[in-house]
Amino acid sequence: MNWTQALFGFCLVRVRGHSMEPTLCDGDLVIAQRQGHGRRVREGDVVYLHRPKDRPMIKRLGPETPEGAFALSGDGVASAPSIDLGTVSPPHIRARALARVPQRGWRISGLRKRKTARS
Amino acid sequence: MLSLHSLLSSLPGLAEADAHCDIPCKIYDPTPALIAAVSVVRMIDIIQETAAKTDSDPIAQQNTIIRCVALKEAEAEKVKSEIRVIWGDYFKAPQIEKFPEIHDLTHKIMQKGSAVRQNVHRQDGEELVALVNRFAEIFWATKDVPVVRKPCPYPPALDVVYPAL
Repeated sequence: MNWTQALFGFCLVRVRGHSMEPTLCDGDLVIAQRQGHGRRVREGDVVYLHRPKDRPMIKRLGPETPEGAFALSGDGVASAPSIDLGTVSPPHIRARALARVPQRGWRISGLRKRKTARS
Repeated sequence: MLSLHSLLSSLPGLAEADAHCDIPCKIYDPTPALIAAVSVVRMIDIIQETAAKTDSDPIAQQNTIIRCVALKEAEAEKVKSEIRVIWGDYFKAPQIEKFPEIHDLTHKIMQKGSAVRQNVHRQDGEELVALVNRFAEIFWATKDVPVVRKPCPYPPALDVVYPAL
């Protein structure tokens, strides 16, 4: 693993697409804490996940299912609906997003936990 | 301008994560394509039958043929459009991996869909139905839905693939 992907339990991920706007924009960088470091993920966290046979994604965790998986959603209005995104089980969550490095400027902004819609 | 972003972006081996937008409707069904393909054969039959009539009013005969040709054009185009959407939007890597013939099959449907517009050969129409039947079989197989092959309950009563839901 490259050091930029795992430095002291942190990693850097580039966002591609608009489904997490306005929280994260296309091209933004995200500072994330790898799973196994820091606290466990919870509903409302923005996470970097990679499910088998799927592309790595950045999404917000929705409610936890009785099986221990999490629903997924995008913050953007044009994101695929949660029912289509399916769920993610904790072993496939790579890291929890902590902060956003926007394309312009020097300001790093922290990412907040947010309440997600319940069906 | 130098920014923290550009500084960090220059680091090698940066991971990328998709936050892609998509609003898929997820409603796909090859049945409209099959109905359209069968309609093409029906139009060819009516055109041939009308043309063979020797004792009818020639203007009325032309009227019927022109109407059937127009409908044949529209139905053939509908076959192509419906199949294109399912192939382009529904079929993705897992389905294509399972049925690699889908690209060639779709291309054949496009070609045959044009052939039935250019002429009035029943055999081309039947081949179009056969190709779309195969497409429907593959489509339902990707969803683990069993199918039955039965004559459609209207003329031209050709065998059509139906989902056995």
